[in-house]
Amino acid sequence: MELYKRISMKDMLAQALYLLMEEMPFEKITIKQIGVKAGVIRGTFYNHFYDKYEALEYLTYTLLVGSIEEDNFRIRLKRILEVFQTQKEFFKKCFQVEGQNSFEMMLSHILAEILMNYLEVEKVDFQKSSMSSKDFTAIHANMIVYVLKNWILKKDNLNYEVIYEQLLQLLGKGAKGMIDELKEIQE
Amino acid sequence: MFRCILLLVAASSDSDIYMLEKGATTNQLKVKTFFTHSLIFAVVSVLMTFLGLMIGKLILNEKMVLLHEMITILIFLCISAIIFVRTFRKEKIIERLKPEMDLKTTLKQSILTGIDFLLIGVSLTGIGIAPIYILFAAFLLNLSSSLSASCIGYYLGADYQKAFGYLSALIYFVVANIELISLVL
Repeated sequence: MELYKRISMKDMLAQALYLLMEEMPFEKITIKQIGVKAGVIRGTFYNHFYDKYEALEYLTYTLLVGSIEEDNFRIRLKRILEVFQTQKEFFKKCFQVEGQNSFEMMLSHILAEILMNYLEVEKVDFQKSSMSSKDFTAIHANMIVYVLKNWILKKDNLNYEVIYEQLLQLLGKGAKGMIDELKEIQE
Repeated sequence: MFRCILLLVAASSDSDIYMLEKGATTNQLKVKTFFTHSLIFAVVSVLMTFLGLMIGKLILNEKMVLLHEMITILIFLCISAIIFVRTFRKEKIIERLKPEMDLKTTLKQSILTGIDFLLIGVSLTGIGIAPIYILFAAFLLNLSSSLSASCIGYYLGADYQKAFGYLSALIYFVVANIELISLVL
């Protein structure tokens, strides 16, 4: 029986980054500060990560993918939104990371990977389609990122279940489906 | 002698900034590698100082003492301004793993940063210190400061790059003013 959960150095460094982001903006965080927080010297950081952006991507991945053991896409999406709600302040700071290594791009890659896994589990074949699976997942990942960013950065406190329903509508019906539905309601 | 050492410390700052960055972007403190690269900077600084001393001896003589002093002051003020502006404009480096250290790049960098030593060599001509001591001081100061900078970079990161630059600019400015005051008085 395991009395304690083993934590890797990589996770310790990611945790240290998380704690530092509670105290200061991501741009001001240095590798030394992450090392000090984790109780290691600077050089150790580079044994696990290329730079702090990679550490942030790993941290986000751990929060959104690592902690959720669920194959069903809908349930996984719901759990992801739940994480976003509980860690709202953290993700607010994350969305402030812009530029070449923006958080939006990181999140898009992670979500695209989740979607790709879902396609593999469902054994969806894109060979006869004009669109590749990579493009398909990228488009939908970017759409989810847009919705998430809007939700997190807005001051209104919508519950994650409302956002979940919005996403299911967008992903399930697409633009035409939603427009047709709205037209029916208007009539 | 004190002025000489001060100037050599200031001239070493360019190589220090480079080695600081190298130290800050490596995952292991490779003493042999850092020592080799610091040695390159030290050797080139000695050669440049020697060249400067030779140039100074050729173009300046006893009758040109005043002109020599004025040129020295002007050079130091210019170097101070250039370093200050360069440091001010320098963007904060993104701390990213770059463990490879290319000898060719270091050699190129040492020649570029050695220009300060060349100018200092010219300005130190005829101050009464034997050239061998100046060259020895240049070698030792550059070697030790480059090695120290790489260790500082490794343990503390690249945050101190700007501090090195501003300190160097300040030293040049102070020495130039000391020379100016002694010239006037």
